[in-house]
Amino acid sequence: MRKILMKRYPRELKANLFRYLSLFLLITFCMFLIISIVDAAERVIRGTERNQAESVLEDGQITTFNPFTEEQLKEIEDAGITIEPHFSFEYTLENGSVLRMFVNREKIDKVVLDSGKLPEESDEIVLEKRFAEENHYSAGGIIILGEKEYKITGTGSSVDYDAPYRKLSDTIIDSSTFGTAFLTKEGYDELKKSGGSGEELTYAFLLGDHTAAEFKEMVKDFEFDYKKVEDPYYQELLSDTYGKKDEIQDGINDLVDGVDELADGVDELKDGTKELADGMEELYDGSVELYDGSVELYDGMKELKDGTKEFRDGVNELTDGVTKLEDGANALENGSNALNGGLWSLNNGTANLRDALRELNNNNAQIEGGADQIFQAYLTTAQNSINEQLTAMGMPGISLNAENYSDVLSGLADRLSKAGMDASEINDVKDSLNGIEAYVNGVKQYTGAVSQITEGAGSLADGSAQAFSGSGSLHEGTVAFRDGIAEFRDGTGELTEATKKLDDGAKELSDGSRELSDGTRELSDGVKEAYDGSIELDDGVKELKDGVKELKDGVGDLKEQSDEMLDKLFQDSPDNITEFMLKDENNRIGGAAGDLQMNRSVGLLAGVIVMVLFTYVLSVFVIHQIQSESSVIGALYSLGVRKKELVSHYITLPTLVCFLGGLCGGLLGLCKFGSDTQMGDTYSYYSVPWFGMMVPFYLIIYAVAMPPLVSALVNYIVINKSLSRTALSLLRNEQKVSRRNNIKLGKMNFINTYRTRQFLREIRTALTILFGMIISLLVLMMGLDCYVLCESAGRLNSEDVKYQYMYSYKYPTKEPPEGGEPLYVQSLKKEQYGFNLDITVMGIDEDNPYIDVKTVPGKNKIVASDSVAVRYKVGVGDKIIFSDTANDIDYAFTVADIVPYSVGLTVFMDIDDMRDLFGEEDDYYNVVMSDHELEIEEGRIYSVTSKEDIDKAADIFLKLMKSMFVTLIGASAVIFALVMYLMIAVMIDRSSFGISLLKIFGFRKGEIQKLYLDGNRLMILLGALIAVPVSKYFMDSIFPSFIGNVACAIHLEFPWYLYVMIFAGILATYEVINLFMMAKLSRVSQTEVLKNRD
Amino acid sequence: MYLEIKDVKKSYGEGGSYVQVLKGVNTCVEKGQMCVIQGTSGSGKSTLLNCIGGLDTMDSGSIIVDGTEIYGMKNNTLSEYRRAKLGFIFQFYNLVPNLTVRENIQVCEYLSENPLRMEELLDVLGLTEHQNKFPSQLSGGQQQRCAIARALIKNPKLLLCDEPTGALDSNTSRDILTLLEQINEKYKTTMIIVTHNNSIKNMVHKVIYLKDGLVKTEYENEVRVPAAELEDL
Repeated sequence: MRKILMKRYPRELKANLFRYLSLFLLITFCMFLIISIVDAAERVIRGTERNQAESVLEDGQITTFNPFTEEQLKEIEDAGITIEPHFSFEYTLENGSVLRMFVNREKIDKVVLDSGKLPEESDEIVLEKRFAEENHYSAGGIIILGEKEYKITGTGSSVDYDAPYRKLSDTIIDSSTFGTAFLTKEGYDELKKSGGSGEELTYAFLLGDHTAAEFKEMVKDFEFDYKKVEDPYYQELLSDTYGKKDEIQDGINDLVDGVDELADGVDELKDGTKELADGMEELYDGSVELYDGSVELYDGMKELKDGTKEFRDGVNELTDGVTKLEDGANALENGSNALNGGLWSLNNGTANLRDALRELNNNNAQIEGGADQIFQAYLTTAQNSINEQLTAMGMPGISLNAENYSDVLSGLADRLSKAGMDASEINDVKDSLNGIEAYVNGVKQYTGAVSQITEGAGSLADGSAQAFSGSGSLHEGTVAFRDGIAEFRDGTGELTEATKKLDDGAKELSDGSRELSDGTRELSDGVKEAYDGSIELDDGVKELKDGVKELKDGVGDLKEQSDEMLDKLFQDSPDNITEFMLKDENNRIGGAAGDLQMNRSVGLLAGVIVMVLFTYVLSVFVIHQIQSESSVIGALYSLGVRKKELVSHYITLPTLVCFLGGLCGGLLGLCKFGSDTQMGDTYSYYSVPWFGMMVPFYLIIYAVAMPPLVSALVNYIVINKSLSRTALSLLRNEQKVSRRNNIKLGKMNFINTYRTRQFLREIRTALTILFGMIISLLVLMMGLDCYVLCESAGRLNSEDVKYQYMYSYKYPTKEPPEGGEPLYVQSLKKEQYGFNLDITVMGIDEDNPYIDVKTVPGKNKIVASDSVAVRYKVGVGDKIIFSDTANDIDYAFTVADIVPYSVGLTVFMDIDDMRDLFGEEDDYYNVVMSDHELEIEEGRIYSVTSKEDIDKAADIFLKLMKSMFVTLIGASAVIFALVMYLMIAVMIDRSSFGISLLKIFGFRKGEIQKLYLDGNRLMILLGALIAVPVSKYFMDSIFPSFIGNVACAIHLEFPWYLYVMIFAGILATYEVINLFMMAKLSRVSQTEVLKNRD
Repeated sequence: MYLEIKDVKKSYGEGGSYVQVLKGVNTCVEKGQMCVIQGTSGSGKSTLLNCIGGLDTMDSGSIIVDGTEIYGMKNNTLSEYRRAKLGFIFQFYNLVPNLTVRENIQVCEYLSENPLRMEELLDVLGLTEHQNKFPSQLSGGQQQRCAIARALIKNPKLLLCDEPTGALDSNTSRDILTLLEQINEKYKTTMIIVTHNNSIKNMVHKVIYLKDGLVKTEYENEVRVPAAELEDL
């Protein structure tokens, strides 16, 4: 069946020739553009790679002060590193353009000739091709350098200058004013002598198995006699830098000596403080003892004071006693007088008494004999009586005497009682005897007492005689005693006086000892403090000693490190290297390929997006066809045809168209008119050899397979649903009533209601137009963004550059030149989209007349230009990090302000803070701006930039980009016009029945136009109102990534009139299309109604 | 029995718009018979034909065609069923406009492993001289012949015709009916013809009359009138 159905395709194509042809052409055109752009990019990228390999691209280059010696070169070569001198000097031609002269290369970065041959004689030269083109030189011609004619033997390029920037910091290549040239060694030397200046001693190298760091270290280790460097400014720099080495070293040595002396002094000080501490310790001990003594003295004084007091009291008491004694002595004298008289009387009395008693005593023996007789008599009587009675009773008798009567009688009484007999009589006898005995004893006592009294009276008489004589002596004694007491009293009076003086003295002594005690205590405290102080002093001096030791060690380390540093700075650093640059850091290498990387990726992506649009447009046609063939499809289903067979049938034609469009576009893109033309831009800017035809396999697949694949996919998604209806539904041509068709429109007049219904019915087609509009507007916006970027860059740069000349110094003078405004400029890096762009950090004075920026104090505060802020999406207060890739240091800054400034990517700092941040002198500068040309020695200058150069560069950039944005704007207009035409045409085709019916009803042409076409104007206008800002926003979002490798401000704001022009262009395009559509509307026949029902 | 229809019910819509078109149709058709289904508009004759052809589903009941139950078949199986057994002829031909007569017929030729011979068919249908014309270059009758040829080329056992003469004039209608009669005789194709035309019933073996979704009457003609002799077409 497929075979049979395939026969429909040519007929279908023929029937809708314009539709398919226009889409085919559009696809072809777009694929042509895309394939040619991508292929051109591929040719340049791969060609550059191949050319770099064939020409032996350097791994890097090293520039030196002095040429390497033969031995050094041999050492390098022996290490396996290939090196070749690429010395150069600049020669200024009469027209002001500059040629950088090289000796022809043999090993590295070999010259690739476009025409002619390499120079062989000293008067032969090969010119870099772009310079030759711009200055109208060609192989076989002559160029006059100085007074000598040189034969141009060829033109060509070298891989190390495929982007022939004069300075590495340049952003624009201007081959009309700068190029390279290659001579023989002899020719080079001759020309150098005749007017070349500032020879750069650059060597290109291939690292072999070594790393760049290893090679760099090797070169640094080479012996280098900096004094042989001829550059006087370099010598001046050295005298300002390396000449300082001795001064610094002397200073450090003095410091070391000073620290040694300080250490010795501190040692002595330590000994002194030690002795002082010991002395103070002893003094303290002495003061403690002194204090203890004073305390004891004070206590003694106190006791003395108390003793004197007691003594004084005793003296007082003695005085009182003496007074009383005196009184007593007087009384004693008086008493002794009386006693003497009494004793005299007593003596007389006692003598009388004694005599009387003596008489009485003489009668005592008689009295006692009488008493004894009585008692004896009574005993005998008693004994006899009792014995009589005892004998009467038969009992033995008793014998009584004075000693035993009591016991004998008591015993007898007991026996009688025990014998039961009455013993009372015995007891009576006994009692009687006891009485008599007591009487006898009393008599005896009386006689004994009289005897004794008599003796006492004798003694008393003797005593009283003696007492009388003693009282006489006593009286004499008492008189003498009284007199003695009187003298004693006088003595005690004197003693009292003396005691008072003693008391006063003791008090004074006590007060003195107390003061002494207080004094010694204070002395002791003071000595203690002094002792503590001396200990602390000793500790302090000890610490000082340790500190001085550390200081000494530190100074020793400092000396070592400073020696090393000085060795590095002044021995290593003034090595022979002035610049060491790897190929990846050299923006002259691979510039063309780098620029076209973006073309390749963007081109491939754009191709897919555009194909999605075109295939969607095609799918709208197919849907229209399916709807018109609905009953036929239903019939075929009824007969057993499967859905997939019809899906593949309906997909085939648009896919075929896409395939053919892709194929033709691809072929055209790859032919001379395609990629060769696209490469024209590259060849007119970069200095690259002609890269021949190159067709990457993936690009063939892309061109041939991508369009049909996208078409198949898009159409399958769209068609599959339409063909999924049932056979019956298709047979009946049932139209699904969607919700949008049921929208209640309210009270509107017929025209508006009809228009709205028509719009809703055709909303898919309207959305396709909108989609097409967005795609074409994206292309347009890309072109306009390019234009606006270039235009604004040129204009704003010109406005922002207020100086006439800017001098970048290699060797700045101490003072900036008169009339010049000094700045400090440092170049750092910031990565975005894989490109590491230069950020210019500009240190300026507040009153810089050329930079109208107010900086903010602080080492990490920058004022960012809006170009930096926009590109890196930072605002005030944000942090941003820039890198010093050479020294591997990152600097974090805070954006303090944002100012309009579009020259490159620039941020501003206060110059003093910047000097401080980067460790430069307080008066350091390396750039000078001026409003007039300054007379500065050429040798000091790294580069001079004039305002004129900047304006010129902007013009060149605009000129270079012009073809690109014209192409893009044109392409967008074609895409938009065709998509709009085709879609409105489909709308009319789908509405042909209704149009036909309206015609039959008698509607006029103008009325039908209102119903079917005029509504589209509103749709286009509304669509534009949506699509223009959407596409502008989207393109502005992705555009920075397209120019990720260009360090410039990104100002993409359109002036108002550009928007007006876009809208006007859209409406104008619509009006033109509308004219065609009116003609188409007129062609719809009234019989269409009948046709549709046949 | 080649075609057995048992208690087939079919309805459309829901709620207020609910309509039961077939309310339990029972009938059958012998192999090789030509059968006409008649009825007024809305009687359910086209719906019944679509159910037999597997173009529409039934709510319940059974339709057995040549021993194959088609109730409950999935879409793919129905497609295969139609491909293997059925031919369709429609009132409005539904020819592919940008294919010639021959090509339109060829579209269905490949659907059968045992198609009829193209030349013979073109000859039988009188299309040989028109075989390279596009539908738009043909008369209505010629287009319908082409449609019949397209339906017959795959040699179907059952030919379903929905108002095959509805868009044709009387003479052309007679020609088409004669053609169908010849085909029936020649290829023994069972045919079911839905028509408003009252004359056609006389040429077929069996007539089924539907009313309000039910078989009102059905009968077999004892005497068939040849198509060429039909009047009032």
